Amino acid sequence: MPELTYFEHLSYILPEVAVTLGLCLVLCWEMFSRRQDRTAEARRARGMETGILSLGFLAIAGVLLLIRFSWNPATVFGMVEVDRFGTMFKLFITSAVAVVIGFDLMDRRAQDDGRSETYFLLLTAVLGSYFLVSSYNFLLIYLGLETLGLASYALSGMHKRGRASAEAALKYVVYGALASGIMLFGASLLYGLSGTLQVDEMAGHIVTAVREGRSVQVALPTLLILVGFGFKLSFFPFHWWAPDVYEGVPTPIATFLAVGSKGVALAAFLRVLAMAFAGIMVFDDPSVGILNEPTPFLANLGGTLAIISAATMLVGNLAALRQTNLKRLLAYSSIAHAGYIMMGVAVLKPSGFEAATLYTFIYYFMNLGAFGMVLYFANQTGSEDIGSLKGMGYSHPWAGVATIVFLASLTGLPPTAGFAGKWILMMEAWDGGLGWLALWTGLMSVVSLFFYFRIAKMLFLRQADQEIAVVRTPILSGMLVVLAVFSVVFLYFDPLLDLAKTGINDLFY
Amino acid sequence: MPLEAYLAVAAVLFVIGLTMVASRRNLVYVLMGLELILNAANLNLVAFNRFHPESHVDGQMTALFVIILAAAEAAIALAIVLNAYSHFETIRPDDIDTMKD
Amino acid sequence: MATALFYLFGAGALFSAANVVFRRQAVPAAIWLVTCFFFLAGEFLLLGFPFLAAIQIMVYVGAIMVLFLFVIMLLDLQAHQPIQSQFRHSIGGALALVLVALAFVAASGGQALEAENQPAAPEISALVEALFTRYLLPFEVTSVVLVAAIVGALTLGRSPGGSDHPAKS
Repeated sequence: MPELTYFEHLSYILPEVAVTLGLCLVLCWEMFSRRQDRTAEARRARGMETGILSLGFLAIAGVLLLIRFSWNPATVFGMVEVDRFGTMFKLFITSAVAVVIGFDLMDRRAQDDGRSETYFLLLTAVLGSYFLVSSYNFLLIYLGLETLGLASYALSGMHKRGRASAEAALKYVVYGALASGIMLFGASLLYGLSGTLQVDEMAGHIVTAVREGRSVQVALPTLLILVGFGFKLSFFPFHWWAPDVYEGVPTPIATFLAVGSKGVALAAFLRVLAMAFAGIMVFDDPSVGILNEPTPFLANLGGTLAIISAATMLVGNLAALRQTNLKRLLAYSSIAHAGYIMMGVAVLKPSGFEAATLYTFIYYFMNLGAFGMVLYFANQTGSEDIGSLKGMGYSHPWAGVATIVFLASLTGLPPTAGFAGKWILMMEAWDGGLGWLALWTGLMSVVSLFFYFRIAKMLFLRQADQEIAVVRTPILSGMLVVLAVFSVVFLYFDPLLDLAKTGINDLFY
Repeated sequence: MPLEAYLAVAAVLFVIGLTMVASRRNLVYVLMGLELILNAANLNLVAFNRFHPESHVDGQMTALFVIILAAAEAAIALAIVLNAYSHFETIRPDDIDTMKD
Repeated sequence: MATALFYLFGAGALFSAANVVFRRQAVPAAIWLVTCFFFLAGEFLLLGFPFLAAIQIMVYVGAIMVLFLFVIMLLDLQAHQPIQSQFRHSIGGALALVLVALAFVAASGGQALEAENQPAAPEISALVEALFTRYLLPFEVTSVVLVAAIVGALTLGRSPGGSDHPAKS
């Protein structure tokens, strides 16, 4: 690879620069614009301005990312990998945060104070995610994780009047900091094993250690690092913070935590796993054939991940059955979906990782939609209780039908993208020798039908107790409908699978 | 000194930190436990750096960044604790647990 | 000499850490934590990292622990929190502690390296050079993190009424 000049290096990280500029401007905007005017209208206008400003910078970053997508992979500034896998997930988090900002602007129950700080922190989280998904260096991964984490902790505590928000932020910060501390300790042990913090350089040492029967030296740090990622991805047994936190924080922030933060954590997890263990994974390389002999270490790792996946599905789906708060229900549902995604990871093959990536993208559309649904109906009724949905499907046909689509997709019913994604995951598990896990997923999907159906039943099969005046929120309805269309269309959308394939290819070959 | 001696100190610090977090007696203790965990990781990094001279300054540099991040994290975490205290009038984690299934 | 100092600093760090766990009052516990960080700075010094030792003392002892003490005093812990430490739990904890620590050492060591055989640690100039070349990007990101931490802490500390004055607790 030819030596790049400083400005060429810089050109590779232009999206990061755009986001950084954006967050500086958002922070300054509030300072310079009519700060003394404290009327409600002025404060609302300021919130709107900073929101649109952040959306503008996210759009710039998105365009720059799209342009960069066709560039050849490169390593810039010594430790930032610019490849299609990372760019893919950067687009993912950029668009997710754009939708979250849209939700926040539409949230009628949001307070007008602290809006610009919310957007500033969301942009900081985007910046952290950019580095999280595009590095093999544990220092940068930890830095990205902490940037994302710190912004999320502050975001969850922002709702000043809410006791629930204070409690949620507290639980999140204590266990989040604990998980990242444990992960750092694990990373330090891997550093000791190999003498480098670059996962790609560690790989050789890891393979040697496993081959020479010193598996425990690899297994222990791997377990500790799994704790760190497990917390962010909320899989069993590190899932219990999620329901409390999602319930306590405002809905847009819950959306961010459930979709954005989870997606990028998965990307970093896949990158680390692929790079660290590619040398001992058993899979068909298109040019060479089957690469490696199976090792007990890999079997144990796959088995552990499979058991985690099964337990996560069980815990998520069973607990969701008895929820009455919509956000809490969706929290358990997103835990269960982390379990489905983990099924693809547990196969420990490129094709399994592809299926997991694809499902994450589908998860993005249907979960943004589901949380948007909570926001929409909370705007109408002022409540997030499942009972408040009674008969709302008739007075709000567009949102009602969109909700049915999201629920069908989350359950995995045909003809939705959720079905296609889950089907591919199950096939991968079946081929990878995890047939029991595929069957288990089928069983769990049946269980999940009960609680998703309960929401649908409330919307369309019950009569409203009293008439509630319809509040027109055309933009939010429009967003819901677009997300619903995507949740169906992606069933017939091969490019998405191709995209996942290209991304994963960058990791392995 | 052999490497193991440093690792032993780090490991014990790590476990002490973990027990402090797990004991959940009060939030300030929990946060102190978190600081101990980060320090244990730092000691590991620095010790390994000494015994892997080929890695140049990596371990030391990481320790430096961890110290900075620990400061940022402590600031946010303590602000959240103060915020929770103003709502709940207590800092026992077990008493700040109103959300149930 | 180095060996003696290692044992002194190591034992001191562990003794202080144990004291943090068993102190019933928050302020002495925080002071013991400071002591622990001091001893750790000593360990860094022994390993040949004077710059890191200085940063450890300046940031940890000078900034982070002051923040802790400040919060402890704001919260007025003594009045609220009678802390019982249960003896049985501490025995179990100590046992688990020793076991886990042994496991970590067994898992991570394996290379019985001696410090005397190693070349000297890199100079500070090497550190600085790395900071502004290879580590330039993380260094810049850190500044964003610190700003985010300030903004986050300020917003969280603001009183619920929406005024710009910090909460009076």
